[in-house]
Amino acid sequence: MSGTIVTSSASQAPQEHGWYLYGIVRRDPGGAAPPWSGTTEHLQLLERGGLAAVVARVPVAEFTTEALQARLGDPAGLESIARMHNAVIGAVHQRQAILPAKLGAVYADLEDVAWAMEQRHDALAAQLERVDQCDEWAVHVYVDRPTVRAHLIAEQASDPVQQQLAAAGPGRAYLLRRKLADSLAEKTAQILDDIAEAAYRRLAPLAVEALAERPASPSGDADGEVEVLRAALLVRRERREELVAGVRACAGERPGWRCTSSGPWPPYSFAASPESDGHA
Amino acid sequence: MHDNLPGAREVALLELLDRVLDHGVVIAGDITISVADVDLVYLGLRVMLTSVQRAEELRLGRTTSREAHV
Repeated sequence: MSGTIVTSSASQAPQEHGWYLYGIVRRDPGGAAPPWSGTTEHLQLLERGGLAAVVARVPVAEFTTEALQARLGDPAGLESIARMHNAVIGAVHQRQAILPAKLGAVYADLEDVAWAMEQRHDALAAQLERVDQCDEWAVHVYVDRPTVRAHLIAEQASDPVQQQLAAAGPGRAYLLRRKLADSLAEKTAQILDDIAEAAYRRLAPLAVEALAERPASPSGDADGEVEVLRAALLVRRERREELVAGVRACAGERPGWRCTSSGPWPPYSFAASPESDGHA
Repeated sequence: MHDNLPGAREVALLELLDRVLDHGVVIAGDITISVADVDLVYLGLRVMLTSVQRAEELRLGRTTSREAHV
């Protein structure tokens, strides 16, 4: 990859400044104060059609491949970029709907941003409509595996296999114990699945859209608490209390089950329209 | 809270990184920068292109479609 900076003018001299794109908002036809008014004044609005891009002028030297790899490879550098990105997008999000741009999108020329906005105008406008009046909430469901296992072991005490075990010789006892252990592992995994599904079924209907993943394979003998569900929910503001109550209800439903949420966030996970898969 | 659990600040940072990394809309971008196998950054169209020829193609494409909007 070459580090050459190609400018849009006829000149091939490296340029000093580029434009960091924070996100896309709806253009205010009334020409009202920009959505970050009084917070982060270094921002500018680039209007095109019914949309406006929230941009800031940045030194290109900080966003070359080498510079970015160095900054992002250092946890402190990554944190500062992530916090800057979130601070601006969060401030705008409090005032109006925004489609957050992918972290670190830097354009050499404002005309490129305007052109790209024009190209995808209708899809971006539709996506803004979808996230309007909504916040993103992150939900995590954890299960304490020892608690689940202790519960199952208590159940196994009444298993007929236990009676057979008492009367069995060493060979048969070995096989029976294996059977009990396999059944314990299988039931533990099943309970983790059930909990993840129950939490999702409870919370997803509160959301306009929900994305969920099973972060870890709950099989194996790893002990302690495992995360069984990680979800991003796009929730309308008027349903916020319902969501918080739902998370609280999940947390208390069964012993060993913990559910946490964070939010409200700007709609990071819902900025890309589904059909475009995030790409132009 | 156990000693081996991350503190509230670390949790908040992890949650933030989970939200902002590899999420968000890409209106036009060519280059992805990955650090430790995580796709972090898309650079805009014209910042650092692999070849001048590609830049020319994009510029021509842009000019054509801008004219179409006039």
